[in-house]
Amino acid sequence: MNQVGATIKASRMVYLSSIVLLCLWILGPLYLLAVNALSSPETINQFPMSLIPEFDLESLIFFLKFNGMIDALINSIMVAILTMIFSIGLGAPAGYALSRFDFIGKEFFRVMILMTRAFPLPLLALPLAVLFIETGLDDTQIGLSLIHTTLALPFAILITFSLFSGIPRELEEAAWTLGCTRFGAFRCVVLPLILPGITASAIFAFVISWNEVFASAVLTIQNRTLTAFLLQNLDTAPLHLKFAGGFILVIPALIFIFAVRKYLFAMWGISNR
Amino acid sequence: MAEISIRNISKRFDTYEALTDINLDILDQEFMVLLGASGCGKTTLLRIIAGLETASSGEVWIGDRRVDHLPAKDRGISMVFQNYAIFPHLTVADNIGFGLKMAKMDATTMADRIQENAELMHIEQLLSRYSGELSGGQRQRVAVARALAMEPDVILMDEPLSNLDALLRLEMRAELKGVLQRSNTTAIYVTHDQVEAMSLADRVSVMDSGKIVQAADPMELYRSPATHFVAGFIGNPPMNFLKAQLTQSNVWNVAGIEYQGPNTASGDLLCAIRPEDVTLSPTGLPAKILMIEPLGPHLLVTTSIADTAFRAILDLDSHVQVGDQIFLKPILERIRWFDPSSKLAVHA
Repeated sequence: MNQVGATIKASRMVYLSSIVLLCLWILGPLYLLAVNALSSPETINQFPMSLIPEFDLESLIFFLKFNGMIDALINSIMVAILTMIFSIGLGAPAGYALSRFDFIGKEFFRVMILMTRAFPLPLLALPLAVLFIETGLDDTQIGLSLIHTTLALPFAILITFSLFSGIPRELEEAAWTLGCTRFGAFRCVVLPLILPGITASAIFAFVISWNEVFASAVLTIQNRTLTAFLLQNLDTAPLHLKFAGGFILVIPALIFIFAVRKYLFAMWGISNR
Repeated sequence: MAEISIRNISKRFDTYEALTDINLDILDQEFMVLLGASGCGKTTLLRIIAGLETASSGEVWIGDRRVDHLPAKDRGISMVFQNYAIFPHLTVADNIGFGLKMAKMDATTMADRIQENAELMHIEQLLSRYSGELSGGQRQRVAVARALAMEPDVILMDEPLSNLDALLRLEMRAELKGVLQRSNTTAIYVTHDQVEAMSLADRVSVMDSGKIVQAADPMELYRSPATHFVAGFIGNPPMNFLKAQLTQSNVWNVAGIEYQGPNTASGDLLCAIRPEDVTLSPTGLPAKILMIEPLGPHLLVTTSIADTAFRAILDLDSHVQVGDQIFLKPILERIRWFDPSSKLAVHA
């Protein structure tokens, strides 16, 4: 009896310490980043470092006033939103088709979707840049979001494919027999059921675009996104500005994911209805 | 008015032929059951009638309209699915009213119709719940109420009771029968459960590998199976088959005993006897008891007659033992005959 108790206690300890370790793994760097971003330049260069933020907004304010910074932020958001719209707009119908219809080459198509990610972007950068300049898409939000869409689309298709597959075909069929057209059944039955999943997959596309730096750096010059802008400007900047830049890069993505966290985990019938 | 006429329906999936030249006429307000083992094509046929599947060839008529080119929503049908297909994001009331809303019915009529059908299925206290909060039996009731609320010409049911536990199934079966009798709707009901089929149906269509083998009322199906398959499928346990040789014009030798039978030219037939259609009598067929299973109301006795297994249902107080030699006398007018090569019934 005692031994069993001890084993349970031990396994509980392992469980708890794993959780703590995981949380530290994620939260530790974020915390250090926040502390440094919120400290005055002098404190950052001190040794030993204080682990308590002093809420000095000097470097953040300096950073926000940095020339072109706000433009880059807006560019980033715009490109990410466009990417989100494109990848769901194209990905969700593709996912629906994959899950509901039988067509020749379906399996091949599914493999090919992932294969698009096997192409290294640097390899494509030069021809893409040339093509973009020729078509006038270079240095535009639309142009860059198209590239980001190609990165996010495979995931959007595969995520929506599994979402649609998780919805019993009978639900749609029941709607058809109750007077719905194919589109009507989709709108009244399937859409409300997959909306949380679609939201999650849209956020995913947003974050992919937000974090992408290579294509952004190559394909934009005037209209840089935040990542490309920071890459260009922070290389030579003092330490406190690097922290502030990193902080500003991380925060929007964090807030966004936090706001929709419910949809990231919530599937119908499991945690919310 | 909605009689249904199925004409020359065939369905092929790639090389596999799921349905072969099906012809079936269903009368207005008739309760037709499609009965068969899994994979016999009964659900495919139902889905073709519903418009969820397209036939490779043939026509479906409902009333005096040809419907096989119409989408499901324009056929005047509603359907109850095996897994209920209750919309999880809608309340019970919204589920029942879903089709009415699609038909743009005004709100008060709709509310009345929802209430009326909910009461019919005894779920009026569940109207504000979601399907996640319902038991299997309650979901089943919602599905039926939703289908009935449409006041369809034809209601199609695909194994609606098979996901319920045994006791609930009995209860729902009786209730369904009552509700559908009062609703003046033509019903087509798919099941693999012969007891369900016999108890519900006005007429049963037995299906086997993509064909309808016999469509008849339950009593006729039981008493006069049209084929060897039906005889071996209907009844629990099903009919026994013994080899019979012609001795003289319409007299047949079955395990040494002579019986009056059909007058045919061929020298061999199968003599089919229901397990309950025998009595113990010294003039009967000689049988050796292999196994005895007391079933409560009676004994199920497995015997061997002329090296062929023969199951008989005997009175509980029959005083028989394994190894006993007994004599089973069939009720003569209930003996049926089948041609062993064509598998069809041969009439005396």
